[in-house]
Amino acid sequence: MNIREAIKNKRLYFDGGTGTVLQSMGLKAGETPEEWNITNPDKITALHEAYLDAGCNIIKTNTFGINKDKYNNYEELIKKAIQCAKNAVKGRKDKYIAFDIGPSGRLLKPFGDMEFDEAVSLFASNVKVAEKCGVDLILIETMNDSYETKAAVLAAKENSTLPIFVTNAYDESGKLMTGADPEAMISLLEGLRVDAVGMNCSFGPDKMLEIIDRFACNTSVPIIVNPNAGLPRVENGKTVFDIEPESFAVYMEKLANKGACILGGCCGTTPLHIKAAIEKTRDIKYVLPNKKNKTVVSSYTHTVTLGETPVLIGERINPTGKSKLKEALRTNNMNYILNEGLVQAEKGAHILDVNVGLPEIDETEMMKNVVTQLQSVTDLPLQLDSSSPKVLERSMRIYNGKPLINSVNGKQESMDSIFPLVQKYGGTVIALTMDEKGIPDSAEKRVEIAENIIKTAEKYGICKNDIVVDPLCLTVSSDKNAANVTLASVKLLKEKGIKTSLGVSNVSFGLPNRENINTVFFANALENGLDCAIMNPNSDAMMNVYYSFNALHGYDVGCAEYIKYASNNSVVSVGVSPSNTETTLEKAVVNGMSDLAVSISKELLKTEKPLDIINNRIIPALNEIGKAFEEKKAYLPQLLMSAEAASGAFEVIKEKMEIKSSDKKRGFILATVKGDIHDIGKNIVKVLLESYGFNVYDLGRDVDPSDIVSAVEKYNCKLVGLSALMTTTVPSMEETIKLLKEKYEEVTVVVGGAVLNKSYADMINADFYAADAMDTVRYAEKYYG
Amino acid sequence: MAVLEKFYGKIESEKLLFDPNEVALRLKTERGYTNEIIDECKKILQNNVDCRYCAVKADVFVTDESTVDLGFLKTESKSLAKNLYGCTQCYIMAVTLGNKVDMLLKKMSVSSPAKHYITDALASALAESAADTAEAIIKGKSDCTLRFSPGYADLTLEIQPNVLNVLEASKYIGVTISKSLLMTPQKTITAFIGIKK
Repeated sequence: MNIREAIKNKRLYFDGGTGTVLQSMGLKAGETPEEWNITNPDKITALHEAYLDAGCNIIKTNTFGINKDKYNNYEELIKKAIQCAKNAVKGRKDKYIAFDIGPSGRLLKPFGDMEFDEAVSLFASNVKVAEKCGVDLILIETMNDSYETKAAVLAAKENSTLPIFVTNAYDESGKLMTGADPEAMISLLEGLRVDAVGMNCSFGPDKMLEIIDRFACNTSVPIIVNPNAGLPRVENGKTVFDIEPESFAVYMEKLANKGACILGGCCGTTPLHIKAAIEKTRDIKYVLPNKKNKTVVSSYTHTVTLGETPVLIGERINPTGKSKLKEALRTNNMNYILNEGLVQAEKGAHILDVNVGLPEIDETEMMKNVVTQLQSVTDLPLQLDSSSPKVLERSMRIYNGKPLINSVNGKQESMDSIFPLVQKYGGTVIALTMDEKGIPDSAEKRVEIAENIIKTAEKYGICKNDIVVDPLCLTVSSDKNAANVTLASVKLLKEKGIKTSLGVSNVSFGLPNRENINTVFFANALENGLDCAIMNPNSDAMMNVYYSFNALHGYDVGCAEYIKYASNNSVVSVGVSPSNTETTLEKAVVNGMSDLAVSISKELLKTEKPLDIINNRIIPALNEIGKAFEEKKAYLPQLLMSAEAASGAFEVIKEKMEIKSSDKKRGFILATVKGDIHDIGKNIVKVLLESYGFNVYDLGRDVDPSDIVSAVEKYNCKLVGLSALMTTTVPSMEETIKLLKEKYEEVTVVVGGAVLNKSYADMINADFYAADAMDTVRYAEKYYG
Repeated sequence: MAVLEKFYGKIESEKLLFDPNEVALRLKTERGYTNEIIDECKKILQNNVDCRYCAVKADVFVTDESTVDLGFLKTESKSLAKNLYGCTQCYIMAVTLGNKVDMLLKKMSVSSPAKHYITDALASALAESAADTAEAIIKGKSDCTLRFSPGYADLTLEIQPNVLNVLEASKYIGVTISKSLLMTPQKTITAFIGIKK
């Protein structure tokens, strides 16, 4: 019987720890257990046999730490390990070999340096060998990062058809090192269609008892529990663990009673631990988790459940009708885009929609970058939004979590292209009620399309819960019944237990003061049972509706959320208070008061010309603080705060100004060189340059030399600033300069950073060494005369 | 190499104090200078600190004036040899403020460069405080040399991967290292402490 069948019927047992047992067999400290596959295969086989004799059903191959980065002979090590396991199970019935995959030891981007695809290919190399040798399942274990876990699962899925079991290492707070809670991992892993999920290693079985309920309440697949024998400590040069077999078994009994289906051990456990655990749990009734039927999406930290309190999806990262976002996408102004995400998160969005479709940009590449970067600044789940299946595939692949996907519709072509993606990568998908014949006029017909979509999804193993229907909202200005039909559809779908979503702003298209219409429609839709709305969380009027609705409909116990919202909001709306009016813009800038600088600028714009405010107030104020800094009368934090206040004011003023093409000419490309992720210095320079009105093209950190070269052409800007903070990355700066100078004779390179000085800068052929940010500004002013 | 003892644990955020000298040094201000935004950044930072440490006690042989043999690695460094001179055992430690601080800094780099700069400086100061606290816990009452980190004087950063490996830092405190030898989380310190006989 294969293991997929076997776990449906009875409790299975994993083996226990490897290191401790091998040490007792003579493995020396500093010697890696993997090498024994070649040097001491008999002992590895004996280890497996000891566990099989203790009664376990699944043995893990001795391959935990093997990958092609660490071992040139990884293939041989894996083959030998599997051979040892095969020798051990020979002649025994119903025993399974799990090919063991542990963490790579490296961290993925954006916080580490490994590309997601590189991680997938690293694990894939292992899987290919295992698949060829023949094993019964793949066990991905001890990973403490959700993203790396996803990479390993994809590698397994793409290179074998073997069952996949996954256990993660949770810390004492019940989270992975990079933040995921059990619910987030369950959602990610079930989305990826793994066969069993659970936990291993980390702390002892006592800690696992604290989180087993969260598995039992949320997963629909068998739960694996492979704890350590408590905490390790070193005594007389030997690692020992504090939980003995008998007490280990008592814990395992409790875990089994709480729903753990597959039991075993990790570090410090021995055949005696496993034997005791089996004896204690053998007679406990075997119950598989029931189907949970929840609609869940997740980020790399947490889940958002649809169908309970209504959920808000922030719509601001979508270029339709937003000229500033379009400009940001064209100039690759990542900060602007990320800030749109941060602001919506602060305003209370639960999920962020991400649509970066513009005809003149590479949408696939941009989507990948925006999704990756957004996930480094916000932990909200994302709604991946594109009309192109290719873009969706790329972003679903690299998304860290289980995304919401926008969208599929009733057209066969759409379902044929989207459902296989959901089946492979996981996700909850928005289904639009339109098909080859268009959008039906009646609610009943729209529901019919929805039901057809759900039926088709089932063929791909996508359950009803992973479909959220958007019955579409047309504008009332062209069809008086538009809103009525949509609201009736929401109600009908709700009655059938189908989750719903709406882009609630469409209804008012073409009408003045759209917010008036939008708020009433939003309230009506909620009243009819809408589960989530794609809307603008920056609109106070819309948020008023949301919080009021929740308070009125029992979603907000004690109206706590409403009270918090209402009290926060009243502070914001005060504006310029009487005492503030005495502060001038100059003072606000010099003292680094951003909010004040913005509000005073707004007032001033009523009476003064934009250019006058800049030239007569902001620039003198900046010069004052800049001079004070140069004379060491002010400190860097003050200088930066002033620059930020000036930039804030500048933004407001710019809106009232016609941007002349000449402004574009004062460009400045900035980048932290390849290999270096320190961007503080570069950001300081950026904010100062911007406050002086330069047009900064910020390429970010860890930037490939060739990307810097192509930016010169793309932005037609010959002034480039490079930053490096580590001695190890100065060569990369040198290489960048060399490449730039080869390609463009007239390019000017300014360099700066903690490890540089004038002579170093000369040596690597830079045109100017900037000692600090002000130095760069002065140079740029001189450059543009 | 023989690992003689192993340590790991968590340090509560409240136990980490900002040393005014460190703060001034990193912020590039005079000692004691502060303002509203700096105070605000301190609070936000403290709420995001998840400080953990791990360490091992190991045998060490200072074979000549510039060679230190730790079993798992042999390194040429006059300054480390001098620091560990006369010691036969040492502690090797790593301490980190955790990846939530990285995320906070990344977020601030988008929303406010000034706060980013300030918080980064404050975090560096706090990492020193974390190292002091962890060191005190690890060495207890034993008489030790001054803490010495890779990157100081002639002690190369190249040994960092080996150090993290022997500490199992990825497993115990979530610290990893990139190919260009940057540790993640960023605010992480590794160090050697010689145990005087």
